[in-house]
Amino acid sequence: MQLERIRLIYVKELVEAIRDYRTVIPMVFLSIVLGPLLTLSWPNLAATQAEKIVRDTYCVALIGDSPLMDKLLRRQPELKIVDIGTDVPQKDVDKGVIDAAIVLPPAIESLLESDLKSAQKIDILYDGAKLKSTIARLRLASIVEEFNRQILKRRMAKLDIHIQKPPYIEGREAEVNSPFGVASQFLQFMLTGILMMMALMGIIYPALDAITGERERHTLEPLLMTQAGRNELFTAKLLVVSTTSYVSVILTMIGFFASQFLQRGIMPAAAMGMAVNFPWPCFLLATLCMLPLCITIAASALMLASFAKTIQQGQGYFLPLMMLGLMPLPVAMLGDIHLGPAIAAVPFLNSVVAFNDILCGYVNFAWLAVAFISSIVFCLMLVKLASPLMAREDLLFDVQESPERRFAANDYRRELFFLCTTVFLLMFYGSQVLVLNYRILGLALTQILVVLMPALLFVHYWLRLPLDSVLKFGRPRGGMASIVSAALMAPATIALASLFVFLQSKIMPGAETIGKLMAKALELGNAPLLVLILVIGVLPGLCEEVLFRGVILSLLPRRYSQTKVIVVVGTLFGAFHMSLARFLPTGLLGALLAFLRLRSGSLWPCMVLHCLHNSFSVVLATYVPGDPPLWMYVAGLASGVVGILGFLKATETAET
Amino acid sequence: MACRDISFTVQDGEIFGLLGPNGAGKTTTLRIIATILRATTGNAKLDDIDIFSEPDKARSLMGFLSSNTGLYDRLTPAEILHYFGRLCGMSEAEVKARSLQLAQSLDFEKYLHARCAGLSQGTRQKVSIARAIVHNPRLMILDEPSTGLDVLATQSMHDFILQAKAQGKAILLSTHSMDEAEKLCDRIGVINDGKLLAVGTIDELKATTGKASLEAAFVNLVRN
Repeated sequence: MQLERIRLIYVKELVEAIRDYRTVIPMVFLSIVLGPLLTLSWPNLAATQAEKIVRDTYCVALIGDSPLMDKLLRRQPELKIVDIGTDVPQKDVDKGVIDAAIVLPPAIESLLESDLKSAQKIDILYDGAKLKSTIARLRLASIVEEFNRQILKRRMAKLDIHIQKPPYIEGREAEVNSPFGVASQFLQFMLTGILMMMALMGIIYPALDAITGERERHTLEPLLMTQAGRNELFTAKLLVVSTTSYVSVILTMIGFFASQFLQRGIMPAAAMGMAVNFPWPCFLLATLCMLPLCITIAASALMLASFAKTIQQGQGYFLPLMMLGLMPLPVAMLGDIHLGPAIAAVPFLNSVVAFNDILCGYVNFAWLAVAFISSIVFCLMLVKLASPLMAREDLLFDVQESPERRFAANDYRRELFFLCTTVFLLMFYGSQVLVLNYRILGLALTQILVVLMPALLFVHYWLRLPLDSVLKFGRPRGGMASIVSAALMAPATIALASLFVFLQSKIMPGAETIGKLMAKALELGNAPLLVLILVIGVLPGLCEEVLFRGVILSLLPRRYSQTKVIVVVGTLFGAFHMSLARFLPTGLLGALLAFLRLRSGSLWPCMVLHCLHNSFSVVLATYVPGDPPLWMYVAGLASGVVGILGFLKATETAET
Repeated sequence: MACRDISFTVQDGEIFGLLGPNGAGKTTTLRIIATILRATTGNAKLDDIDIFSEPDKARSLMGFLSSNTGLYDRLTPAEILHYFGRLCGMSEAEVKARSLQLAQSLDFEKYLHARCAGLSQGTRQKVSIARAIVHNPRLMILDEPSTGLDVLATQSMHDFILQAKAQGKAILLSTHSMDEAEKLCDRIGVINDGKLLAVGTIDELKATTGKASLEAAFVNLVRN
């Protein structure tokens, strides 16, 4: 990389960005105005609101008879007692006739005084959706407390107990002692969120313009023909976008820093913890700490922009980035979380937490350094990933391949990623809900709605490929012989799986044996065996084969070796069952099924083996509870050996 | 578009045209030579420089222009020429002198410091040409240079190409216009479906196909 070229690209991009009002308005104007606007308007609004609360009159009703309560209520000038003449005051509260009401049990006062063991309940009715009603409730609650105190006094007087001096508690606030100073509560609460927003706002247009704009204007092509390498281009663009983001952040911080002096001049007593107090060492340190965040956000934005063919498409991509960028906020702001080894290593989150820490006066330079380094490493990784994207042919020249050609090249990894994510998420959330609510029917629905439908819709409506070309329902190589051989393998797969799980349960404490797993499945409903075989045995055998050995296997890139295909399909199939204990046995079964599909060229042997494997397991769990006897293992394995030899022979003869 | 078995040479002071229908592989071939796309196999040489193993060296000797290349609207022609000139390895003084010279010869001197957003289509085309040749390349790659231009702009584009030829530049251009090919090209390569069907002068192509016009010869080659 040549620094001079990076400088040239940087300067040119910066000049372009500064001349773009879409960048300049959020970067400069909004940033400067935001601080003074918020620090001057909020305390004012809050003070007005507080004044209103103090001055307002609240209409309350007293239901029940108590001279003491009546006296206490009338002593409060802000309470207006309304006689609603009803025993159902909740309606009047709901309608807003009164703000709140106290409901006393009959003869409460005399009961409490005469019987020293008596305890009574007082209701306060209010409408939580209305602010005024909520405040009236708080006032009534303090009156109820005063009522309690008065009653207590009377009881003590009756028992002839006198307290000379009431006990009292003194609270002392401990302040964090930081050499850099501590920002006021108002800033601690607001600034992190605002700065994250500004850092994100500062990148949208520059990032889109720098990458997607270059493509849309057709200026990338001549640029790639200069001496500037793709890494240099990307690095320079990253620096520009980081600059605009960081300038937005710095200007916003300066706005808040300056507004503390402004606020002190205009409103010397900013009310209710809304005073802006931003000591300059704290300000400087916080400013420095935002730098890695801006670079991280810029790198992510450029990465996203690299995927977009048009600016409009890019804008669509930015909404999730904004959401993602704002996700660490609640974690950092609400929890008592400080920078430590784990958080310092997570990009985004580390910067937000570090910033919050600095505002609150917790400064740990070691972790700040770790956070800084991890952010830079993350950015370098993104640069490495994203700079080749600038040269991707389909993005660069807007090449759209026809479905037939893509099928010929057979590279659907991106689409498969989405399919697998969808199915796995549906499996995780949907399947649980279905099985918990509808038990055995839920299992059947899971297979149809979560496994089969997404696979078919994906091929037919998204990829627009002919289903038969993907699913391979043709006659298998070796014909009937290969199907029968596949069926013979079923007892062996069960024997091996249960052996595997048994061995695993010896190593992994808490892992369940296959018998227990099946028993759990059978508990799902007291359904007849035939229904169980259909739902646990046959249906998954058909649906899962369509998804895994049908769609996924067929759409893996053609250049993958057979071994790689078998490993990928097996791993996905193992992961799909979402159980650590079952990962290896199901994964191995998936790999075997993938082998059958590749060697026979048809889905039928896989379906037969899968259906029989599941069905035999159901039958076994029903009739042979607990661990099966040894002879069954031996017989199963023997049948498997015959099966696999038969299958190899059948498919081999067909090949020759 | 995938291209296979395409082989030809372009001499200094020669205009070589790649003639083919839409989607024939002309642009892909030019992009591979311009080092923007990577070829899976094969090689291309500029003098003794292998463009695949020494792309940087090769690029400094090539200029690329297509009809749809854009300009940076918020920059001025002077800034654009400076940017590309410097990125192509020219010094500050060289770029300055060359920009002025190009602006004078292509007649956009008075717009040299105006933002591109406000320039007319014709002037933008001139700035694009200047941008492509700011580093004075020996080989000029022109991808359908006159597509979408009006008669006058096409005329000045043709003048520019012929002028470059007179200066001894090697010019490789793609076109689907028979008129343009006949008017400009010394030799033509007919390309279709990613394959080079024939190479020769216009007369040679007519002779091999036994047709009287270039158009008829072209149709004959592509159809067969």
